[in-house]
Amino acid sequence: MRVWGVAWRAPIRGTPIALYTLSMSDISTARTTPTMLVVDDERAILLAIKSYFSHHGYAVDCAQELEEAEALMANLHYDVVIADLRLTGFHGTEGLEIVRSVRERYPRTSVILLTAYGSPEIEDAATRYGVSSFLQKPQPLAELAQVVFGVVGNA
Amino acid sequence: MNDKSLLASVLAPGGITVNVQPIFDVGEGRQTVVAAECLSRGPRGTNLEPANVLFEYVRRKKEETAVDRACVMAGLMACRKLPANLMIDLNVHASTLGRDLSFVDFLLQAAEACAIAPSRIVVEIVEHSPYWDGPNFFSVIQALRQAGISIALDDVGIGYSNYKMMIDAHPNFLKVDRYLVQNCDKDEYRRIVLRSISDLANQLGAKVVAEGVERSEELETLLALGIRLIQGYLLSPNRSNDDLMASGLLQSRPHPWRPAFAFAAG
Repeated sequence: MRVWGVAWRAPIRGTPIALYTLSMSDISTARTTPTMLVVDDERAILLAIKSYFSHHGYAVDCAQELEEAEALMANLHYDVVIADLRLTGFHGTEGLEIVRSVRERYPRTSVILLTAYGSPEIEDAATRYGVSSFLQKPQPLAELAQVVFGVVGNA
Repeated sequence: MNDKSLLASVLAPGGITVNVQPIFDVGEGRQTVVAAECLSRGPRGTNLEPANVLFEYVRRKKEETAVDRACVMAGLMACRKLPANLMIDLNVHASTLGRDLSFVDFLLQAAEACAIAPSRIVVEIVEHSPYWDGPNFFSVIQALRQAGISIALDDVGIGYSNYKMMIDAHPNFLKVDRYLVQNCDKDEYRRIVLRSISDLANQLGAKVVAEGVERSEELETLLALGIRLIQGYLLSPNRSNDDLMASGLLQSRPHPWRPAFAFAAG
């Protein structure tokens, strides 16, 4: 099947003019914009996280479903994925599926799991699947940011 | 937007939009548009707008059948004003052909509603996993043939578009994936594989379509290998149906391309 149109993402921070004025040493240290996927079935949470991290220089995509998130991850690279444990679905642990999927297919991606329904069993499973960090909801954005910066780095 | 409304937005009227990309017959000194492939994309402004994300999502949701029908309908609607000498290529998952027993009836009704003769339709079979319902698949293939609809295998050379599918589907066209086409002028292995597909197609009574042709050197190499049905940005990007009609491309025109005989032995 032919494919047309790809999801847009700014490849490099700064305007084209700024790029032209970079010295060679600047170019060698130039960083691409860190990329983030946030997965949560609550739109307000998506908007809050997207707004916060966009302001901190991240390119942020949002998804509300497991399959939507997986379709995005199959086509785009993300430096970090922040997923809620419980999405709209049948078993209520879709976030674990995301952790497992990321670890199996996208080893360069960090994954942070958020949940308001945490239990030792869930945390054990997430750790077994290779979660980068496991956080309770609600989580202040500034504290979430510290975790993100810790696994990805400051933008 | 919850689970139901996201998929519903794809299936709602206007949820799927369609561009077309012309397929050219390049040979005997002329290049002529002979077909147009319908290329679908998801609802504007959503994550599903890019086709690759849309169809990955659809496959994961196991909703290929419903979405394929929506894409077919949108494609036929988009192409209904194209000249009657052009074939219209529609992508359909093999899993849809295996599951949807009334697909052919639907396709014929949709074509009739758009005043498109079945003989102009090419069903491009796409698959990303083995189709599991053999008997249904075969009966649908047979019904397509009886209706005068042609069959193409998409993405030949990668994934599941393999020899088994050639045996099962008896395709009229083999659409060679861009992976084999890109830089074929520079890569002897690609040329050997392309030549083998071309020979195979000749023996099967099928024609080869090269997808993703972006450079004149690639086109010249393909011509030298006997592949003259060409699709790709070199000759035309995908565009709206209205743009295609206004582009002037639909008039046959002399072409400057000459086979790159230096590569023919490769």
